[in-house]
Formats: sequence, C-alpha cells, structure tokens
Amino acid sequence: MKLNSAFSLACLALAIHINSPAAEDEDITIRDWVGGPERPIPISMAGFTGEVQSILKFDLEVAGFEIVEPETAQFNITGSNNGQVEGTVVDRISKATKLPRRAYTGGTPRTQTHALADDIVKAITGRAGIAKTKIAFKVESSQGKSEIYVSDYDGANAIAVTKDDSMAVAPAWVPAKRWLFYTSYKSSWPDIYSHDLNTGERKVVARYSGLNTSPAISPDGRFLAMILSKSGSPDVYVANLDGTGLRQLTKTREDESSPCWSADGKNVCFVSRAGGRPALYVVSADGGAMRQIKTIGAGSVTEPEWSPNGKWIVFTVLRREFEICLVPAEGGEARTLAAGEDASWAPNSRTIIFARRVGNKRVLSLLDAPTKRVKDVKLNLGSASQPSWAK
Amino acid sequence: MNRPSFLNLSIMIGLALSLSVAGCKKRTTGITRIPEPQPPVIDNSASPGIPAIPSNTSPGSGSTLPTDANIGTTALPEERGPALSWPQDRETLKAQTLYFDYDKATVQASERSKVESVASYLKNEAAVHLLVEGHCDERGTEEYNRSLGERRALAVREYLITLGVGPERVHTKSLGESQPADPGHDDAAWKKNRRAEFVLLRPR
Repeated sequence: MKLNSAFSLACLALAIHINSPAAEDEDITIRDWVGGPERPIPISMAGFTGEVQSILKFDLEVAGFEIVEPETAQFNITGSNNGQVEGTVVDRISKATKLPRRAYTGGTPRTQTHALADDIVKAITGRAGIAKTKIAFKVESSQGKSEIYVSDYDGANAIAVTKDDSMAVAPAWVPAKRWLFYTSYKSSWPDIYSHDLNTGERKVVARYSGLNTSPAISPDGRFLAMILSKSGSPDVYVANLDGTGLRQLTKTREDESSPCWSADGKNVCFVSRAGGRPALYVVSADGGAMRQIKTIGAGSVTEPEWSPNGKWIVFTVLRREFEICLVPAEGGEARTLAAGEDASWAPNSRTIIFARRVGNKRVLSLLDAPTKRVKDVKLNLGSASQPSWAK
Repeated sequence: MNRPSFLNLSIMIGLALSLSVAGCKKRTTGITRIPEPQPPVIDNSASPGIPAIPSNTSPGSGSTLPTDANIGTTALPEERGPALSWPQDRETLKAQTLYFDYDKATVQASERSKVESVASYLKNEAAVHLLVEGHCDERGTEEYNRSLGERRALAVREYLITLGVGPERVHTKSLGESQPADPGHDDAAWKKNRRAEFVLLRPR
C-alpha cells in the first residue's frame, strides 16, 4: 500500500515537472531604447562557414552585437551549415541555453541564416529582428536619370522595380505590403505612382499641375500624404491611396516638403520654410494649425521620418555637411548621429538606413542608433540614395 | 498483492500522456521552415490608359485651414493643359535665366529686369506658353530641393502674373538638384545652379 502511494506521488511530481516551463523560458521584458548610449553585446560565433558565416556576422553586427573570442563573449553562438543552417545560443556565464538548438529548412542558405539571426536577437534581447526586411531606394543611372530598386536590407537580391529610362525618385512603402509609391518624371512631369509589386500594376495617383512628390503612407496603410504645388506653393496634402478624397493640410506662402506620419497615424510631420529656414512642423491629419517641433541645435531641418514606436523623429540637418540627427518626437535637443542624409527607420525603431557620400557617389549605410555603429549596405549599382525601409 | 487502485491507474495514464505531449524537447532540434521568396514584378510596359484625375472633394468636417491668406501665390490649373506637350524652345529666352540666393525662392531686385523681358516677349507672342523650370544647388537634400525648385519657379510665375501675363500661360516644373548647370562643388558652381530657366512652348 505504502509503496503504491509513494510511486503515485513520484509519478505525479514527474508529470508536473515535465509540463512546467523550462528554466530557459523566463519572461523577457522588451524595452524600447530610451536614448542612452549602449555598448555592443559581445558574442562569439563558431561552426558556421562561407557565406552563411558572413551573412550571420553582418546581421548580428547591425543588430548591435560585437563578435569576439568565445572566452570574452557574453553569449556563445554555435551552429553549422551543412545542407541546412542550425544554431544554438548559450549564456557563457550562467550556462543557460538562450536559444535551444534549431534547424532551418526550405528557402535558401541566405534566408535560413537571416531567420537564425532574428531568433538569436530575439532570444538574447527580446526584440524582434530585422534580418528579413526589405528596403527600396533610388539608383542614379546617368545624369538626371534614376530608377527605383528593392533589395534585402543588406543589399542582397537587388532588383530594379522601374525601367523607364527617366527619373524615378522618393520611394515609399505601404506598411506590411509589397506595394510602393514613388515620384516619376516618366510623363516628363513629376507625378506620384502607386506600384503593386505582387502584380506589377502601376497607377498614377497624383498628376496635377506643378509638382506632385514625396509620397508617404500612413501606418494603417489607408492614407497618402504628399506635396502638391497646384495651390500656387508646395503644400502638404492627404488623400486615399488611390488619390481620391484629397484634402489640403498646409497653406503657406513658402514651400513645404517631405511629409511623414506619426506612429499613431493622427499627425503629419513635415518641413516648412515658412519661418525662413527649413524647420520641422506637425499638423493633425484631420487638418488645423501647424505647430513647430523644436530641434535645439539643428538649424536647417529636412527629410524627417517618425520612428515606428512613436518616440523619435530622425532627420537630416543641413550644415557644412549633411548630418543625420535625432530629436524626441515632442521636440527638444537634437543630437547628431552620423554624417549622411535621407534617413529611414527599420521596424525596430533603433536601426536607421541613410545615404552618405563616398567620393563622387552615394552609398547606403545602416546605423544602430544606441551603439552608433555604422555598416555600409553592399550594392554594386552606382550611386544609391533616398532609402525607404519597409515596415 | 493489492490490485492497482483507480488513483494509481489514472496517475500513470496522466504521466504517460504528459510525456507524449511534452515531447522529447531535450533531444529533438526545433525546426523552422522558410517560405520561398517571391521577386517583385517590374512594370516597364507603356502606361495603360491613364485614369482620370481624382475629383477634388471638399474638406470634411474638422479640416479647418489656417486663416492666413494665400497672398501672392496664384493657383495653377488643376490639370496639365495641352500646351505642356507642345515643342519646347530653350534657346530664345536663354539669356534671361534667373539666379537665386542660397535657400531662397524670391526674385531678387537685380533679376527683375529679366522677368520683365520675358513678360514683354509673352505679350508680343500671344499664342505661346511658358514653362519655368526651377533648379537648386546640391547643398539641400533631394526632396527638399524638389520643393524649393518648384517654389522658385512659382515665384517667377507670380511675378509674371503681376506684370500682366495670363496665369494659364505659365507652367512650372521642378528639377530639384538633378540637372546642375555646373557640376562643380564650389560657390561658383552652386551660384550657377540656383536658377530658373525659361522654356517657350510653341503651338504646333
């Protein structure tokens, strides 16, 4: 009798243990970057070879990690890529497994590696990774001509989306869709196009007299902000994605430029020269008075983009050189991050893509704002600029 | 020997089920399947029938515009008219190319006589239209310069209108910084790039 009871209790205890979460599945609190400097997290990589190794290294360095020797790393990543990419992550000090060994099948070695990179970032930091994201940008084909390209965020698999032999500029993604808007002079005049990348279908959504440019799509994917000059001065307008329902949001004597949406879709931020120098303003998407966003320390502000988490606005300041600057979304001290122009946020609200001049051309670069680490995007296409990160 | 109790039996069944549901987590590798990538589709065909310009609906409730009057910025016609496809003559008014100060879109006093010459020409040739092209130097970012170039063209247009030229005859186009007159990277080059060019549009 006693033996049976003891045995039953032991079985019960074992059942409970197997079903309870393992020690490595502790809750990770995801914290947005609040602005302080961060050190890169030291990690080691072992077992990967060739292209998989270099892709993984790139992904992790962009994500704010530093590859070091195993003995000095905080986390050890080991894996292999014989036929399929596999990896696991262990905390070197506590010995806890952060990422149980995982294998990736299907796709290509490149996409498998990006999937592993994202899982590593998630396991260590709790943040979603960006290794599988896409970018759009402009490539100059000759003087005064350019085409729109789409590629992986690291520059791989670049493909021309326009082949019009004219000037196509200012690409902007529709959130969560393979759908781009851009400005093109294909008709000889600057018009705004909608281009569905799944079907190839293109439509002109704004071709008024004068200037139609700088499309920006709201985070909920429903509205288009843009610059139109048909009123007699370049102003901010919003419309539905097909161009209907047009509403004028600004009405100043001077030029507005580069509208972008707040993370909650309620406001449109833009640049206006109404005060003399280009400065940052915001207006409700429903219309109303425009109010300035202070950028202390940054005089001439252009090309803003609002971070997806709503906290920051990144912009280009026109100094002797162009510089990428950051300001809290409510305004305040502007801080300089890097030399360059035309910044766009990754979906993680900490990585920024921008263009910087190298000799006679521009290259695209990736900046991790908290660690200030910069890595160039590898493209062999000529001068690349005006990047837009798909979100 | 005692028969196994119902309790013992149910615990053992429960344990067996737990083992099968929890799986052999510590022995099998987790597997992630990657979907196949799909390349984007390029459209390089000729434009299909261009759809009509969307109608301009009146502002909905809540969209009140600021009340400062739009002084001195005459609206353009909604649609681009047929004159924009007429042959272009860039030579006749080449000498009247107008220059601007850095980061400004105002017609300087020193440049006004050029605009006056253009106005006279247009009054003498009633059938021609005019395209004013606005340009910038490279010291602004690209979209900023596209707006600034347009504002320059519009400033010239505005001045022509005050001189009596019909608004429907004057069109604007911004090239931003994309077509510098001088590819150099110094003040002398930049000065030549901040300009408005006059292009005559002659009916066929």
